Amino acid sequence: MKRILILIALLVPACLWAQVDYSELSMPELSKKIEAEVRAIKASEGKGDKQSMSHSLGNAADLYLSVARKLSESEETDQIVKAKQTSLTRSIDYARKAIATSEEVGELEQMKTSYRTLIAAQKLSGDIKGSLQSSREMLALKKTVFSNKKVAELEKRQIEYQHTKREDSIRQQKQAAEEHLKEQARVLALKQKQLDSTSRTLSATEQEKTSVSMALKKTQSDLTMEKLNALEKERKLTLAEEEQALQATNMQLQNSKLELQQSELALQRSKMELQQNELQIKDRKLSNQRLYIYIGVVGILVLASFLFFIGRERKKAVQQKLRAERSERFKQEFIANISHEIRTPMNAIIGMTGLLIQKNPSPEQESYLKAISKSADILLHVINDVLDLSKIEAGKLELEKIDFSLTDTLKQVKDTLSYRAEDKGLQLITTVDDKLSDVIVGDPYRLNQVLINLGGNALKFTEKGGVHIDVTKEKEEGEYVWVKYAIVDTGIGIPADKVSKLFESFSQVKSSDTRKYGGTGLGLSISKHLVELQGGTISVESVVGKGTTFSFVIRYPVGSTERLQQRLASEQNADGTILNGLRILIADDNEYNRLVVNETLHLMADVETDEVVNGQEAVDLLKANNYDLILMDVQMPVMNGIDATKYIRGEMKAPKKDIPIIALTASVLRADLDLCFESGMTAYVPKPFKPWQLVNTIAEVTGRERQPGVPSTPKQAQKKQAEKPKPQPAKAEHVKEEPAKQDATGVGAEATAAASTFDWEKVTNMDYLTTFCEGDQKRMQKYIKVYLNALPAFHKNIAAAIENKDFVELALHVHSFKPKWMMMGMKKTNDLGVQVDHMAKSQNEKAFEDVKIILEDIDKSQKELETMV
Amino acid sequence: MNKKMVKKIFIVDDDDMMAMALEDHLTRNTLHEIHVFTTGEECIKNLRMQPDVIILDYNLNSVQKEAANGMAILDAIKKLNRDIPVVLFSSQDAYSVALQSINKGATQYVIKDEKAFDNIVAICNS
Repeated sequence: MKRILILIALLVPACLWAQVDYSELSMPELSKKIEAEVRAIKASEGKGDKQSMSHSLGNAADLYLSVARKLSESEETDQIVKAKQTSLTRSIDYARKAIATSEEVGELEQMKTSYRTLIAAQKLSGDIKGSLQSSREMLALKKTVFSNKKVAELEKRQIEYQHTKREDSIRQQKQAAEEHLKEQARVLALKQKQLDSTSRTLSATEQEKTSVSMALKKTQSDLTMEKLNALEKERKLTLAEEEQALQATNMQLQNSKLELQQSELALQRSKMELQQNELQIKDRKLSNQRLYIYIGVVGILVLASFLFFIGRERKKAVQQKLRAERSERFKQEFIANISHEIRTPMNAIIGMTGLLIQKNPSPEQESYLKAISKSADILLHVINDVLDLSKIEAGKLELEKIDFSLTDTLKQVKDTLSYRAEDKGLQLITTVDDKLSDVIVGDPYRLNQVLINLGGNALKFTEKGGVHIDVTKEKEEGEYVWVKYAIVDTGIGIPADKVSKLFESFSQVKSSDTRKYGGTGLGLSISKHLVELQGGTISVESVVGKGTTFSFVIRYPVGSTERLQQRLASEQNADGTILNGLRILIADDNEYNRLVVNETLHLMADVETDEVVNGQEAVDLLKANNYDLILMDVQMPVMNGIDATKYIRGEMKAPKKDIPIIALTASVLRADLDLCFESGMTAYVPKPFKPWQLVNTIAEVTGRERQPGVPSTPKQAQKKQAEKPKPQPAKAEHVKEEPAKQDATGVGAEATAAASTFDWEKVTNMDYLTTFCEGDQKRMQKYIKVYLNALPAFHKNIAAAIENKDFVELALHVHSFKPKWMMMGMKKTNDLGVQVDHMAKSQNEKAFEDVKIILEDIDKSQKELETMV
Repeated sequence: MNKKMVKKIFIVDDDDMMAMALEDHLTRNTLHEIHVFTTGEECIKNLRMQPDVIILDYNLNSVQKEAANGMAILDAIKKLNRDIPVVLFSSQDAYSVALQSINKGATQYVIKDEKAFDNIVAICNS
């Protein structure tokens, strides 16, 4: 028995190397320690510190075991055996508690120690079965711990595999695992030894016990052995399984590697696909670009051909236009040439004939001279008719818009026609309605021309009786007066079927009449055009054998006597003295023209003049001398006026290159005047000119403007008296004929019809805008809207200018509105605007009155245009 | 062929109707690039765009009182760049005005009348 205990005592320290050996301690020390441990248990239990509690419990169990061992060394009295049993029971109790507690906390080492204590105590108490059970539990624990550890390691490894993917670490861990296995095997071998020794102990016990119990024990030990073998097998099996698991893990690893590779491959593949996609997209883009390029090229080709086509069309159009312009230009040149080539000698013939008649010719000579003079007059008349008609047809005839007296004009007409009437023994009566305001605004020269034409015509076709020119007021509204003219004769009359042909050019009722009555047949045609230009319509009423009445109505703005007198004054007060001291070079190939110019200038002012006969001489003389001005004929041999001007402006040095040059030209064609200005001429004076025209133009270009209100010297006034026809008497002096109102009843209905044409006469005219917008209504409306939108501001600005008597503002706003009137076809308003502009610039108060007519026109235009938008 | 197919044309006119009509007419009848300015100052500011032709109104202060007039703008343009052709565009039919503008370096003087638009087109195309 003792030997067994000693064996165990020896074995235990060997097995439990980590355990504190309490066997050296004495009993009282042991009991003190136990007490301390029990307190520690309670203390840690109170704190809930299960870790230290499990330690203390283990220690207590150990202490009790040591007590039991000490007691077993003593004599075996009942008391001692009892005490020994009690301490063993306590040791077992504490050990179990310690195991339970440490299991809870997971203190595996403490658990093992407690198990060992338990097993030892059980063995000491003779509870073999219990100790075996505990051993088994301990083994199971270890296995669990081991497998737990293994699982943890495997998991760790797997995580590591997953994380690091390094084979090296796997191998290392595998080795570690193998080492662990070997160690475990060693531990197992040790256990076997322990078991062997246990079995030896058992056999020793057998010797002391009965053979029955021996046999029993043997059987038990066999059983144990078998069980241990089974355990061993189980262990090996587990190892094999672990190995398999490891292999499986490896496999998994490889698999995962494979998967990784596969996913990498997949990745690469997807990259490839992506690249392919990109390539495809690029391809598509490229093909798109190519498509665009194709489209572009095709578009450019189409555009180019289109442009080419358009260009060719335009070129064609331009060529056609050029051709038309050239032929028009040719026509104009031809007429201008005729005009110049015929008028110049005609002027000479008429002028010289007049001079000869004054030189006391013999009666025979005088009759010849008078015949020459009359023929020349007729020829000049015919030429003027032709030129007028061509001008009218070319739309180049421009009407004057000046104040004039109706009675004065009628008196001139009567003066002109009276000798013809006297020749034929006919009565010529002119009457002007005294209800008419005498001064009106219009073109007196063209009115004169029409009345002379129609009156002369009437006289021509009348053999007995007379001709009555009757001027009456048709109506008056605001600033306007409608004047009716009727030319009544008692002549041969015109058959109804010929009336419509009457106004065609070169038309007379019978061709034989031409021979009988003479004339070009242009008179009526020109009259019709001129009346229409002034806004009227000629109508005819005729009874064959009884007579004919021509009548027309023209609307005029009411004029101002003051303004008329101002105009007449400015024309007649052509005070030549303002030209005193000027050195003037006259260039004209026609001697008569030079004479007229020279005479006119010397009669009116003290000027120095030199004469040359062509442009080249003018240039040479200008180089040699200093002049203030050149009067330059346009058509001259050697070098004409245009070329001479170009040379002076382009080649000569300042200040001579800047010398004012006035064109003297018989041409009134716009194109010719344009040529003059293009070459650099400063102004022009038409031939034949009136003295005041020449003086005023020279004064203007040389900066010697007439001072208003400065009277001319008596000498000058006398000169003028001699030079100019007597000023026309005012209305009061004019002897009025008996107003023949009753005569007008016959043409009353027709006059009403004529008047009604004025009612719907508009201030606006859309012809220009229609042409400009190529008939596009929307575009036209756009311009009309701009015009209408500008009106309120215009009204406001003009009202302000009138109120403040501000000439500058008035001129500025009227002037700046001119393009708008042009676009809206408001020609009359525009003309009035030009006048108001000029008046305002010369500080003429009348501007503030006349601008009111413009405002009325604008109101009318607003009404007319508002219906269009 | 030193003529440019497409030119840059400046229109300087404070009159809305005229500027609009001229722009409209040029756009429809030519391929040129048109820029419209209502004041001369604006035109001067944009001179670095290098216009090929400038069509300059004579009166530029009917709307804005303080705006500089055509002649002053013509001087300014010529001072900055002598070579840009400037066409004076005016309803002033006084010959002295035309002469003055030509002396100041204007290439052409066009009077605002019915023929003005075609004249401008002809000038711009030459």
